[in-house]
Amino acid sequence: MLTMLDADKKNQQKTEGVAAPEQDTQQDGGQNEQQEAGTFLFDALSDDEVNGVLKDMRHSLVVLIGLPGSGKSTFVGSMYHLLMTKASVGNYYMIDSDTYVGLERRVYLRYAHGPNLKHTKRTGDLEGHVLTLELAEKGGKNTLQLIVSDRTGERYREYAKGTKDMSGDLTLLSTEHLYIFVAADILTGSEYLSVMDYYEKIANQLKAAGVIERTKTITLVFNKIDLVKDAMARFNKKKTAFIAAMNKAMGLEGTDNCNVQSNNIDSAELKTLIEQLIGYSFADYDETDEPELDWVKEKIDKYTKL
Amino acid sequence: MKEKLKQILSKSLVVPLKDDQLDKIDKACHDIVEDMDYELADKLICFVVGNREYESLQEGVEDKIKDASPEVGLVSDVIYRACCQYVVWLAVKGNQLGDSMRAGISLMVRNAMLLRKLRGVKLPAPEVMPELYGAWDEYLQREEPDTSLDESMKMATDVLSNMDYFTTTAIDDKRAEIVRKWAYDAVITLLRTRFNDSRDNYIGEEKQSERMTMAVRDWIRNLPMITLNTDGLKTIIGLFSQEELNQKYSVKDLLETLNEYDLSIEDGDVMNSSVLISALSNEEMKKGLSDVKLSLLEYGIYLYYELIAEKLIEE
Repeated sequence: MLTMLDADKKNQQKTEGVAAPEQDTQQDGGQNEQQEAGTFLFDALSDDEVNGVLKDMRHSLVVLIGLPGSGKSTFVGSMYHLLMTKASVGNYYMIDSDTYVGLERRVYLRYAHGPNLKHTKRTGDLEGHVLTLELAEKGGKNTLQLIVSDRTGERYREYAKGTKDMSGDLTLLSTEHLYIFVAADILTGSEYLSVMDYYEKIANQLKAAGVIERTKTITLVFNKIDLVKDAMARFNKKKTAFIAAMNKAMGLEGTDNCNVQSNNIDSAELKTLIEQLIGYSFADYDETDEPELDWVKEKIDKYTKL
Repeated sequence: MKEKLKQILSKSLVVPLKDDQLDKIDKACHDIVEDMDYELADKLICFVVGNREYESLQEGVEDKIKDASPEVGLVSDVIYRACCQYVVWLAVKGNQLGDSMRAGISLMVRNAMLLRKLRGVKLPAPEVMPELYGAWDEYLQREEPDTSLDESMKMATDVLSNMDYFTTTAIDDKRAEIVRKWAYDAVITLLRTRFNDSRDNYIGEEKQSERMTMAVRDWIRNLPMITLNTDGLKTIIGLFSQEELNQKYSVKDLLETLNEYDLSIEDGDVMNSSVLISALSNEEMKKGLSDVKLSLLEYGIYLYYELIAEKLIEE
């Protein structure tokens, strides 16, 4: 949890940050609009703020990619909901977060329904997109600060159209774990070809920006699977074609994939995906990678060989 | 240099800093090294290695680093600690400080690594630490007079065969260096002889940890110059059997033994990086270390270099 001193500093910084966005926006053609992010304490963070909340524990950055309506924020909301209400997911439990407001908002929007909420229920481009979850392993001593980038789907559509450059997306360029969300019902609908085209363009750009090369895991998440339960054969056919096209665009032979319903917290598939996501992040740090730091051992070797 | 800062920061950051931000932090770190003394180095090292916090670091170090990077946003304590590791790296591997101080700080880094056994602290960039270990040994080697064995042998033969050698031969720089080397070797030989003459002092004791403590203390106490490359540990280790050297002791017991001996160091002057010695007057540290076990040889090595560091700083 942030201390009061940290919270004061952060509040002060955010107050200062709000005063200048207009100038920043004009200078960089809109790339830096995230300056306005995070008006509230514990809200989602911008790229510029994320380094400031890092704790003395392992951290892992996961980026969720997907067009508007693909269910990225719903997935994050469900993950948070499960961790908060079920005490744990698989072998992991939650300790704390620096972005409770951002997470709560995603849970709230998951439940928000009605025609008038259509435009407000999605993550906006002026909001912060980085959420943090501090997690621990059951029975183990390892802790992890999981950083999740949940940018607006509009941003990814702009990347696909080429109206925004991916090279300014610091979290995307720094991640080792990508989760690409696709709405299953879109794949079986009339927008299939245009959506496929968008995703292929995003995949091409990810490859060109070097993101694919540096990532350790890429998972294609076919979300809203409940909406295609009456058209599974058609969905599976489209899914196979989608996976092939994405692998080709990213220059990969294969990728992980799964079907989920991210607004159903009782779904076993959802729990498995969350557990896998956290597990991959914990696996980022292999203690055995640490070099030999005990200089005394070298001296002992020297003297015992004499 | 900036690349090293980038490397050290890499594991502490989620998104990398921009070049101009790195430049500003790099400059702040160089400024801190400019004002470096052993006291500051000691606190920085213990903060990096043992995550021990010192209020006095705030003005001289923390504020400079955090003020240098307002655009970075809130600089977290994790990033701040990584920057401190870079400052320590710069102090040892950079060229802002003199050879002696760089070597001394390297020695303090090695000594402080014992804190990791105590706290199990994760370092911002552990792979960088071994780069800092060698500066002390390299310094001792550089301080050793550099002469050719053949020339030394010839001059020694000339001196022995000519009683008037020193009054009839001009002592140029090369010959002066050979004489320095003779003196250097003679001091080491005399040290070993004196030590071996008093071997009995270290054999009668029942407790091996007492023998080790006395032997190490006396060796360092008798060193006329701290920069002599004596390899004293080799001589000291010769007093013990391999079985005795491998025997494990709790640090609690070792500290009780150490406490019985006069180390001739003022309590207030002990560096925190000299973990064993400083634990004698630090209850929290003593308590934390009590479960750690060291072999007799490990204990001897740590104590030897801690006493060297204390003597260096005293000088």
